Amino acid sequence: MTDRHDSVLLHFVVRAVMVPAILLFGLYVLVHGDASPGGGFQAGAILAGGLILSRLSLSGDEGRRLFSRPRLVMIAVLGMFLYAGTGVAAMLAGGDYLDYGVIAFESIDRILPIGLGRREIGIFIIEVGVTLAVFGTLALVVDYLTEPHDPEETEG
Amino acid sequence: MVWELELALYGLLVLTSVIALWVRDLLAAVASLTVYSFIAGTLMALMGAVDVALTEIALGAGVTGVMLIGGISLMRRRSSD
Repeated sequence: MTDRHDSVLLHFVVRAVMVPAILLFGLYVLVHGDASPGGGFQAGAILAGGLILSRLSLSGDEGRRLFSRPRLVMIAVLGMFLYAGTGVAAMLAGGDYLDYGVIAFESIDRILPIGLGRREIGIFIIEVGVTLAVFGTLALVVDYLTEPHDPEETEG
Repeated sequence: MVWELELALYGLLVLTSVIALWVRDLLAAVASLTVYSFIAGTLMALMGAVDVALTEIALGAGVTGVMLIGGISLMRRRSSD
């Protein structure tokens, strides 16, 4: 099912219209997750949907160069460590697990003055972690399910 | 809320689920389930649960369809019953 289709219109619509719009909407859902519907899980699912769509449209090797399987595993694990690391960092700073209000995020604010409080930066880091984990896992599952195989082998 | 629209969407919801159970071709069943997920997400958005609707449409109508088609491509295409 990973054979490339030759329709120029399909490739134009998918690559130039649908995939950028989907990826941009995923980022929007991630960034505005604390103030509007959405959040880490939804953003990760939408980003993974965009990646899967582009990968189905492109041929096998072309679509797998940027997000290969080891990289997807690394992305998923990095997301999990961002989540868990924020929780442990809160414990090291003297609070409970995931009580990120006690972490001194003001140092980030000094480098990049965006005027956010401690809890806002903390929840954003958590959301980025969830997004990376969901994105990597979903893309990896679909990657393994849609890998090319011999159809005669499993027939009948 | 526009109750006629909601009633029509509920009718389509039942229709697509019955079609997904009724057809023999598994690929058609997956397509019907995708439509089911999309309508369910639309209904959730109509009820004000935009959060759930986003998840339902992104996962149910997007990723799950691709996963099920990938699973079908690994096996025979018709159901055995």
